Amino acid sequence: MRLRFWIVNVGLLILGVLVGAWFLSPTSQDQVGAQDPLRGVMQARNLSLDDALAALRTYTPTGVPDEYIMFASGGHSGHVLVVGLPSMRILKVIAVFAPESWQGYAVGHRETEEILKAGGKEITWGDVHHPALSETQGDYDGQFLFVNDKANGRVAVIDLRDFKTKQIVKNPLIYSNHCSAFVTPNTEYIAEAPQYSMPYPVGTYAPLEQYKEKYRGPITFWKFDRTKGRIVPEQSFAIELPPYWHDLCDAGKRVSYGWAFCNSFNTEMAVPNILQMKMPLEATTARNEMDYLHVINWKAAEKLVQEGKYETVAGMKLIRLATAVQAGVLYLIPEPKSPHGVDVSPDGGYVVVAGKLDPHATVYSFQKIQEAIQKGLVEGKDPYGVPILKFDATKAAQVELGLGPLHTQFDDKGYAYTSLFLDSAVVKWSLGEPYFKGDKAWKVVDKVPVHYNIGHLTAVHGDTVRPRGKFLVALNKWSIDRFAPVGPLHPQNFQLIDISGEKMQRLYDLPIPIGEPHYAQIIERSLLKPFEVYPQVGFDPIKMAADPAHTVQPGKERIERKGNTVEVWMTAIRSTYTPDRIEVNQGDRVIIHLTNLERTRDATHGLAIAAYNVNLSVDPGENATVEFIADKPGVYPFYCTEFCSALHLEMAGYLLVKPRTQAMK
Amino acid sequence: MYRAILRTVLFLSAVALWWVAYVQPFWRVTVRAPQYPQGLQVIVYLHRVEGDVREINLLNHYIGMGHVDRAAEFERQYAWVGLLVLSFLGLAALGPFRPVRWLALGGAWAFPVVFLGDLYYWLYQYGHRLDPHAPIRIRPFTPPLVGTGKIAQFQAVASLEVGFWVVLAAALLVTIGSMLRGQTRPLRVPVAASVFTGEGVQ
Repeated sequence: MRLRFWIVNVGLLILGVLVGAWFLSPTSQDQVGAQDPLRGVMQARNLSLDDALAALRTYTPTGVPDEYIMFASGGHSGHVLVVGLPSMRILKVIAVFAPESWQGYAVGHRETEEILKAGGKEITWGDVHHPALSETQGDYDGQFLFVNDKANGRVAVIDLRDFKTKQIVKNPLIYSNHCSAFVTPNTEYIAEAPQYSMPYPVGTYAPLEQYKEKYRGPITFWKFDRTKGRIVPEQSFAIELPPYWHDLCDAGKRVSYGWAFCNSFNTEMAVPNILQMKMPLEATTARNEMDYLHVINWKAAEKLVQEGKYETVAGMKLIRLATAVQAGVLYLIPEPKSPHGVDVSPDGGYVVVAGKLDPHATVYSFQKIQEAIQKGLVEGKDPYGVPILKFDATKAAQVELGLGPLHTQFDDKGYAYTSLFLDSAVVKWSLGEPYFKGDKAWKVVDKVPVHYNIGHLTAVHGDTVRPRGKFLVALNKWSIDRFAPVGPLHPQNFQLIDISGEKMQRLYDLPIPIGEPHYAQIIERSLLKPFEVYPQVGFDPIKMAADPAHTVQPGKERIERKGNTVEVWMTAIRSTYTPDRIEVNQGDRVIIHLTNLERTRDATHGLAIAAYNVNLSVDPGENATVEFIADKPGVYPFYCTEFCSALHLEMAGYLLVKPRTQAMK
Repeated sequence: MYRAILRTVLFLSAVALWWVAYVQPFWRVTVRAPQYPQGLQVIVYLHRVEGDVREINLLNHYIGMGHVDRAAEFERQYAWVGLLVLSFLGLAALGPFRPVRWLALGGAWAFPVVFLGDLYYWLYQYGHRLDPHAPIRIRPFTPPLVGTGKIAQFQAVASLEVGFWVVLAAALLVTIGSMLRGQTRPLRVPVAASVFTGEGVQ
């Protein structure tokens, strides 16, 4: 009896414990979620701990601004993207080389249409490659942004007080412009060099058989006037370079201030002729084992211009090749073939060149380059008489990084980060003295896969004299399977990588659906001081000043006719256009001056006019002008395209164009 | 004797406080709505209106309310004259003429009362004289003088500001000063005290 008593009781006890354990055990997601919401979400969404940590590092609650701002090229959209970090939220698209209707950029808006036309009539697209923030003493100052148009040889100026394009200049000597924009350490100049050499000025004809004689690849130094916020073509100059295909440049800084470094390929000077030679350019331009790094003393070139040692070609001051060589402005150094990126270390002491077809980064020492120049350590001259400095005499190191190294950025701890196109990875490696000594120098320390086919990469202030570390963004050309399929044209992929620790960690993927972005730069947000609204009513964003002559005061709205020109002086304020009725005759020239009287953040008004290809976006305080010939008779409603108030749909009016026959009566 | 000195100090302080109040805000209304995370404010001084007047006017036009900066233009323009007269009374009250003292005392209390009355009058006017052609028609209302009110998505919080409290303090100083004067002349104690305390009348 006693034994059975114990068996029953112990048995019941064990059963009780098991039942209790079953109740308490985390068997279902709901139970887990109830106990630990974080773990519950992770299980429900199938996220790893790393995923959850990445989300926590990037998630930015509403109302909290990002710490860093990235300016990324919008590629062949012709625009620039503004992205916040670490959230990776797209904040803005800045229209530059293409009309853009949200911003009312060159869609009937006279002022911006003039900007676009100044850069080449009737060209309505551009290929933005390399944004460059203005610098003061080699670090970003947050005032201006410059971008190039590779396709048409143009450079644009964006003012970061209102994030709008202010000027586009067309280079009179070149079309293709890959090697731009990059700025000298105090934004004295914005450099621009052609990828594909050609006879100049633009419009000059010379057959490809005369390639070596007639084609050239001049580098242009556009003078920038910071107070005016404009490039001054009259004070700019160009240096004639041999007809190699220039790829990228970087300005020297600190110890190498006053110098610029550009790499090039096709030193074979091959010309396209695939139908007859049965050889593509990709083969004929890659025969030589070595191409040339160009070492340019732009300070010395500036002096040549001051001394008048230039010719003026199509309005551009041009230093001829022979003059440049004689004055010690130009040297070449062999570099592994088909190089792509050239990047100067934060102290200005190293020049890092990465060649697409060579697994090494080749690092040159600026000090050794100077010694080689002074001691005349020259291995020969190129066909144009440019001295070629000895490779071994100038080299600091060659570091094996992986396959397809392209571009390099830097952090605050002496590491370099290089994109590996073929490996689809980012590699972190150590620089030499003064950053790392002995065994620690020139060593690969980490590698992280990216998706896929990385081109450029960018770190926070990563090409300045004071990199901030923290984050890096891989600008990937292909996304393949990273996102939900959206048809055969895939978005590009920006991948955010945390570089604050020993190991790099991928945090976030941002698809880019407007073009193939090339380079980007990341700045601390605190350095940007943009307007919330324009400083006063009647502000002209192009002049960045008040424009009383075109400001329409409330109560002074009117329509004036002078001959065949009808001038409308209009105001916009929630939710009324004054006047709201415009009657003209067919064939009249219609000019509408519109002042947005608002002083409230975000109270932008649009003005869309049917059939006349007009859409304005007029920010609080802004003045804008529309001009067109009313050649189509009929009735055309106009309305506000920027939802402004509960009575936004009532913000409208009519443009009435009387037919000629009726107008006569 | 010391009472006479104290009285003089109190009256002079009151006069000074009136002029301090002249440059201080008297009333403030803060209007909050989802799309105005920082809120909008109208701050009323004796002689001017400050704050987000432009935006408030813009919003008011939807319901046909007038421009707030056009309210009480006469009062704001001549506030300084009233204040000058009051100050003169305050100084003259230090003299021997009793009627002047009464006038000063009355004026000191009338000041905040008239301010509140006038403010209420204008609030009522603005809330009731709505343009019948306005895009949005609402029932006439009176915005809050003090405290909260709600109009559509806008929550208004009104409060009296430092200028008003300073004027109230000045009135108290004048009152105490007047009482002191009464105490220096024992004969008038019951009379003066009865006025202010309701006691002593036999």
